[in-house]
Amino acid sequence: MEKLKRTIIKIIGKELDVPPRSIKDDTSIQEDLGADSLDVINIVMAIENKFNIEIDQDMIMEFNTVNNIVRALAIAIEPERR
Amino acid sequence: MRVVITGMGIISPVGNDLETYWQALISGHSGVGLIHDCCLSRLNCHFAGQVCNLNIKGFLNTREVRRMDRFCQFAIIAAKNAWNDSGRNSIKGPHENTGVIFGTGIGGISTWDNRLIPNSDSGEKTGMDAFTIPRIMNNAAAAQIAMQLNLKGMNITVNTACSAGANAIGMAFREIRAGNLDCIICGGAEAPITPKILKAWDILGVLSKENTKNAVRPFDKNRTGFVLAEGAAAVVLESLNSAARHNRKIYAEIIGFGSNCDAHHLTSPAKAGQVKAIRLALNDAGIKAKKIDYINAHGTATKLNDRVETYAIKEVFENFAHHIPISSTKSMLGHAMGASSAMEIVVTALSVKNNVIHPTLNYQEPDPECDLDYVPGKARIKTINHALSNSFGFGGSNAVLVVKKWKN
Repeated sequence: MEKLKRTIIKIIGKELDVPPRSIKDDTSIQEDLGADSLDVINIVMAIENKFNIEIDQDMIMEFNTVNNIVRALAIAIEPERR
Repeated sequence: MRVVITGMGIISPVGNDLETYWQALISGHSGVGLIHDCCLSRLNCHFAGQVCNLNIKGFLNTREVRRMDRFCQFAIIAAKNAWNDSGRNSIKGPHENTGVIFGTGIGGISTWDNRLIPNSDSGEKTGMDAFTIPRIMNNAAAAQIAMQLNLKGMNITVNTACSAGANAIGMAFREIRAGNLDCIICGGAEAPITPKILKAWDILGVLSKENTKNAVRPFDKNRTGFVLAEGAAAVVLESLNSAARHNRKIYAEIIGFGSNCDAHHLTSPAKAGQVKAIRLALNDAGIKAKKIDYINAHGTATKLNDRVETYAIKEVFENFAHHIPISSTKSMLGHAMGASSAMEIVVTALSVKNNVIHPTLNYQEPDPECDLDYVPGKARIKTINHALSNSFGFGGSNAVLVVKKWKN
């Protein structure tokens, strides 16, 4: 899971232009980092490209912290990439 | 309600602040140069008027910049500079009675061209993301200006090609004159110097193939067309009551606006439409033609435009036409489409304030068909009480403004 977490943090950091070390497991992307709906779409797109998966629009509401994103993704991603 | 200009901001190929812009224009410095950052191999025109040394980071953070096309960045910086120039030291707000009316010809085209249309043989992926629509939409500039400055009044984007900036300023003038709003930030922005847009203009046959700094030669017998340019101009228009209440400095007064359509052809101008637009502006201002001391021409340096514009001026002003100095700002900047007419209002207002007319650059050989006074080569000092600024856009959309010297 640590590998997956690091990748997610890296993606969020890049999309929101914030240093990865400032992103903790329970940091709120919206409330703490100021992401709006457009930023979240870009984060989702970057994750989709990185892992070659499709994320349904319904899931986007759950993309608010690193922990929640990892939880949502873990099930769809092979163990060696987690 | 009288309407006055209380602030101006400029982003241009000859400078990104008012003083540099003004000094360059009256000194006859060309902003035209070899195009950088662009593959030129399939183009006939390798020159353009490009914005250089713009301190974008001083105005916008990285996250903001990613959401904005280049034309929008220009618009915001020009608008913020105009806002500050009008003596407003902070943004605060909300400003319920301040609106934005901004013009552009093709909006976020650099996002389309540079990011979304991959070279067909390169196999690269298109760079589409959630910011694509916010970047390309034409009203991004007006919307972002309102967000940055917290302006809650009407927010309109004018899209009339090369007359967009002048139509925006004219419409703002009417709104304030009618008492609908106290203040409007108006103007135009354009960033069209991209490979495919350059090629598309090239195909129309209006771009000069001279490939020199001196390629744009309005009203000259051997003129060969214009070069593309980029930039933005923003003007703070304010009711005289509001300006007086806040003790603002006043550059000039806008007193007349004429706007109409040739209803003739998408790209060829028609004399009758231009004549009508000039007459509408003079009638709106309530002044006789002989009161005009200076005309800032549309002056694109195409064979057709300069001839038709000259004929139109002669029809309206008759023999007096020969006594009016006329100059083309595009001779130094190139043609920034929807932004150019706003950039020209800025210099026209400064001319009216300072009693100095900038020259038409690169004018060498008189054309028997263009036989008026085009102020060739060097600036001229003359008392200017009333000036006219002509803008004639593709689609036959004409916009003419009358600027008056400020006197209380």
